Amino acid sequence: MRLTKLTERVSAWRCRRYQKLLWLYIDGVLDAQQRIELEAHLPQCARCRAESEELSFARQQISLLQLPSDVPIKYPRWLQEQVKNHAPETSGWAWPHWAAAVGVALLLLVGALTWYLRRPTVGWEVTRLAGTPTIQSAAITKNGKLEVGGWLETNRVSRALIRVGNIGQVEIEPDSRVQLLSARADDHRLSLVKGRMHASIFAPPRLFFIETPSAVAIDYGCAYTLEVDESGASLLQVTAGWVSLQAVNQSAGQSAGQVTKPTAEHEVLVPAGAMCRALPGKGPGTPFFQDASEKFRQALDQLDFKDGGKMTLVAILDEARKRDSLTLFHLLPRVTAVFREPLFERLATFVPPPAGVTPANVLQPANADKVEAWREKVEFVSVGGNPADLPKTTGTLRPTGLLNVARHSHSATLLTDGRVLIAGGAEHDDTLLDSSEIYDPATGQFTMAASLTTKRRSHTATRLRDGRVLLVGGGNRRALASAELYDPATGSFRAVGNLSVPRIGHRATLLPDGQVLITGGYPDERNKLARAELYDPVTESFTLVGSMQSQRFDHTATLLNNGLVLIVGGGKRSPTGEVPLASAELYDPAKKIFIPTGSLSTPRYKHGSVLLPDGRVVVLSGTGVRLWEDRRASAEIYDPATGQFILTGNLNTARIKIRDAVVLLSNGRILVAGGGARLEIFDPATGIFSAVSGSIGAARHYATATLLPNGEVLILGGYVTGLPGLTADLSAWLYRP
Amino acid sequence: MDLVLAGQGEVFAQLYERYYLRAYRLAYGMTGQREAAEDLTQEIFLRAYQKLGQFKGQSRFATWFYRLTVNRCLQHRQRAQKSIEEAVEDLERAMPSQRDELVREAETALFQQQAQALIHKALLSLKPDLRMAVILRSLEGLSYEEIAERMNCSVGTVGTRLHRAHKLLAQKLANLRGTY
Repeated sequence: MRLTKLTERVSAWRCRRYQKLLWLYIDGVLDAQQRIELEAHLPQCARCRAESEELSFARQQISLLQLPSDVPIKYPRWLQEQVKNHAPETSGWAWPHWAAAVGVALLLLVGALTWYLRRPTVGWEVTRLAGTPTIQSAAITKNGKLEVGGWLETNRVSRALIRVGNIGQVEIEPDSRVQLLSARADDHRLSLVKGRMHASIFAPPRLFFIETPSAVAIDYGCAYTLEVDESGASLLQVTAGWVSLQAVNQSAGQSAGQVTKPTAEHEVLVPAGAMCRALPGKGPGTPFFQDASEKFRQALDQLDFKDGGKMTLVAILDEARKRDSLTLFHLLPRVTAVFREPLFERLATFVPPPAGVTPANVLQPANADKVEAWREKVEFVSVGGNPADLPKTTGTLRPTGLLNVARHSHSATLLTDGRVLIAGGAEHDDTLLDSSEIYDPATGQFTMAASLTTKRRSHTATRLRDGRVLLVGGGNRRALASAELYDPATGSFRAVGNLSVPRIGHRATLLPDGQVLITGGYPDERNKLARAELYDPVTESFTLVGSMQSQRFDHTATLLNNGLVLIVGGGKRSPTGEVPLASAELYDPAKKIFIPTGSLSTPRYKHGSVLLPDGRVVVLSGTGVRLWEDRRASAEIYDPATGQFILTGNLNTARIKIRDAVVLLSNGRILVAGGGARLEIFDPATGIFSAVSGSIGAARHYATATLLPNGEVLILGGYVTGLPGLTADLSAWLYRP
Repeated sequence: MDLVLAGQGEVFAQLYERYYLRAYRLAYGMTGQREAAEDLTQEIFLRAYQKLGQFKGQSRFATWFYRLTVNRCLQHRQRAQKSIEEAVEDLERAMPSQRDELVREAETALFQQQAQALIHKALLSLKPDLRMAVILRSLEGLSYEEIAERMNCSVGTVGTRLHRAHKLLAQKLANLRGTY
């Protein structure tokens, strides 16, 4: 008894240290070292975990609170009188002189300001994506214009999009500060002082520049992410094409101070898939590939920015893969003659040097042409020349038009004419929407469309056989029983019969006979449903059709080629709360009954599932009892022939809330678009998930991915990780296989 | 002299327009009542006007003004502790009884209002320094350094206050906790 008490006290004492850090951890301001320590502690300590969940919950709730953003300015007469009749208190200075000087100066300032604000200028258009970004301290409510010399700022909760003339766009992440330096057709130039931005530029090389305190990024036709921390250090990550990074005083000239003759040391060309750091006063380091080993990257950092000794170089040579040839090549001029020899030899084992080039003469101008040819070979090997060394091509990602309204938990349904209906959803956690919009792939634009009969999020949307779209249930914390029908011919919504019970977290599956099977979900937080019902398109009404083997919400339901519906996982209510399920069952439309089938290897809810062309079903990701901590990277395949699930390869990212963000592509592979900033492709032939190059900026939950007739996939919406209070933004992307 | 005063008034009106929302938001966050927030905002501007002479331009005007606003909001409660309870009552009155409502579409909008009211109510129950820290961090998105500067305390204290505040808020908001 006494001993137990003692152990409890010791562990409580140990915890206290961690508990002090918990809030900083949740608020995202804990330094890396302590974060690693805490993350090691959390899985072992239920108490700290519980507290961290509580804190994170409170933080999220508070961020839902909206302070007024638009109030009428009341400037009452009494205050005006006060100002008119009483001078401000002065501190030491004689009033008349002070007042006269300052008054006149301020008057001039106001005049100058008015003139400045009204003068005609060119600039770039800025669109608010989330929160309230500011231009020159003035809030942007929807659109704004960033003029030359002007500053765009985002705080912890806001994001913005800049249209770069007509050559591309830049997405500004939270906590960033950007200045427009030049908007000329031949010199598009921004300065990123701090924060993070994603640039997608479609223009000839050397038209778009971003200056940071440590380097200048010069576009060669590409997409990339650039990040600047508090110290002014930059990190460049190229996702497509090439970007050159130059030391600050080497910038191509127009705005940075002294122009000295650029040397090879100061300009670093970084290809897709590679990253490069730069430090203030030291300029860019050596480019490296994102998939290089941790040791390799650390050693490189040491060599670039600290006193890298012999051991650092040994580590680099040990860890280098064929793909890292480019890094080795870039190091040649950076190391001393003693180190150049082993470096040269190692590089030669990957890509043989031209005849006559040796470690001793590789840097001599006489050999420049030969070395240039060698560089091309190295790039070819590193960047994409040798298919054996690279993952198979995983397609490309590019931004498309912006939504008119930010949405998560909405629906996106391909219409028979190739356009996409986007309906309902929520802008923030509790700002429900009854608006809809239509995406036209021909123009790449979203246009507002008819209003729903009611506001709904987390509803289901099913395209019926006649091309109309059925929206069912959804709601908010409490569910809706209503359903409605969108008719593309009239472009409007109208109500149909009600569900027998309100549902949210349910699934809707179009059956071969044209009816729609509605399974599970919940009417309110306390009750979960096993009941299922059928929608009949002829009578436009719902009828109960029996109960599943278990209550299920946030499950998946997939129509199989044999006409049965596979219903997998989901959550059910238990005396201790909600528990995820490993069980699965089949619905037989002929007999209208539910029968058990094999079980998942692990319980999952908030997962995704999709039918493969060969008739099997992939079930992937999702989570266990603890929503965020138990996220799963695993995936399994159901075979209707055996009725069993078998584990397949793991995803690169553990994802949840992806019910509408997993699609079968026309090439037979699967695209996973939600729950992570990067997309993944699953190849059923190899059982391997590969990341798609490029990113959708941040992890998005309850996003949608819709396969278009041309084989591309439209990805949009979802609430954005990093923004508080389940907030969505306006961005949308197209994935091309 | 008159001209100068008139000019002064005009300049002040400009400042008023420019900074009104900033001050009002804080005042509203701290009081939870529109009218009280309006009164407080006007008082803040009067105070700012009277102290204009002390602003010597070592910092940006915005920073100086923000600091003054925070101070004034923090002082405000000491005189008006009682009205917080009134504010809470107001907020509660604004929430119609849940039991009488059917599960209807209109309810979602109502629920949102209620959730906002509940959250604000929880926030109002915190001590002013905790409340202010939460408002500056979560609703105005300031960094710890900026908050420390504006609340005249150390960065460490900002962290402690936010931690305590969120622990209390979690308890008060426990019934809002769902699975979504």
